[in-house]
Amino acid sequence: MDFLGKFLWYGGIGLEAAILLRSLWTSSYLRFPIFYTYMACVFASSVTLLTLDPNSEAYAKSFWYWNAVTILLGYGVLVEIMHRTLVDYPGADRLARFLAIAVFFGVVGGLLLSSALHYNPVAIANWTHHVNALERDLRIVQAVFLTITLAVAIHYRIALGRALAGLAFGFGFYVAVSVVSTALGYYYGKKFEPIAKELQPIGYLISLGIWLAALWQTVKVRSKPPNPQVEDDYRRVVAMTREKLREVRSRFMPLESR
Amino acid sequence: MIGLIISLLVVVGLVVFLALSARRGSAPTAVGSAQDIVGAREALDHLQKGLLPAEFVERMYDRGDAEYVMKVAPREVQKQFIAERKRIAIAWIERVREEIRGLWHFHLRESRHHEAMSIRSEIALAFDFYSLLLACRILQVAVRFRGPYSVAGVVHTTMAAAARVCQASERSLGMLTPAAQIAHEGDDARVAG
Repeated sequence: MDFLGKFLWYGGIGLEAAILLRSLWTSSYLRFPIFYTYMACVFASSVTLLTLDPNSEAYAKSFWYWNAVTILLGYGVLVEIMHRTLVDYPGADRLARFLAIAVFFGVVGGLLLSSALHYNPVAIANWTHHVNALERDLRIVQAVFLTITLAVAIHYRIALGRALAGLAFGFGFYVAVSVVSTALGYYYGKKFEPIAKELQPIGYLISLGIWLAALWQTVKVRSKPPNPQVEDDYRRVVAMTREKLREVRSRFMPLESR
Repeated sequence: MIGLIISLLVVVGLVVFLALSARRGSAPTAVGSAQDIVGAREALDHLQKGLLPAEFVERMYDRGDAEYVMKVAPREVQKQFIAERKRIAIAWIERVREEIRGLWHFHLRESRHHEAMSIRSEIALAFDFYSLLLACRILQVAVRFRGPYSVAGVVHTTMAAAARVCQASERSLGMLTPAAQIAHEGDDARVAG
């Protein structure tokens, strides 16, 4: 392993450990349980792979096993981001779920159709020959789900908040880098391998940095979105009541002074 | 190659939405807050009573006045008349656009809280709103370059669509009528007092 490789590997383990330890300190694992399970899994995989010889079969098997687990947990993180973003807005949540289900059935339908016809019209992947293609397709679906969540939040003007925005940005950045890296790797083949080998870990390290910065502060658990206008309306009602009381009092003042 | 293009398009889409959500943040507002309802009611009233009545729109885009001025007034006055009409038409379209945007934002603030929201009508309404805003923008450009009398036909079609959106917003507001009336009556009483 060269210097950059070692830096990325140990730097990643260090940041993962920092995120996990910080979550224990701030109890933010209670708010984002799936994300921290994902983080614990990635940490475990990094430490496990560090003990194995990178050229051994055990390393390759372990790598793909952990990769599959973390990709699946990545979907869990997306569900968590979607749920946390829209939990206080049932109407927006309904639209996002509808779009996500529509995309899911669209993808599954497309795959069934292409396998029935023995022809993939968009030639996105030939999974049996290229494992990279499978990873890329799974990452593309993750990117689409995250895009739907962000689009619905923007459309309905829903603020994400610091922690949630950090989660979405970090995850979005890593997914974007993964899609680009695997897509170019699939298209250019061995020529792109040296770049792809460094690109994804660098992207992941940046995402870890974003997560650590976003989740460093204590996450305040709230059951409802802040409603400044409710307070504003309430203040207005109080002001109006005070005014009415003053009016009534002014009418009684002459009587009181008698 | 198609696979690569699709992958890159998905990434571009994701990056665009990440950038947009970083740029746009909004303070959530209370559902059915008096200020919101009164604001939306006022926007609707402006549109229905002040900006969209057929006779008003017809009068503004009617060629009669222009033909009369062209016949009797000197060249300078003709030029000034056309320039003024153009300015008024652009200002009117901008005002309609602003009121429609106000209604749309009100609708979004309300509908995001309603679990019983119909996805079909929500998508149809979004299409109506966005196409209307786009039509207003195109109208403004057309009036700027071709004058107010060249777009009279398009104006009527656009205004019919605007009236449909107003009806939909009125239904939305209808769900909140008691609160709106109270707020309105309160305001009226204050004005009268």
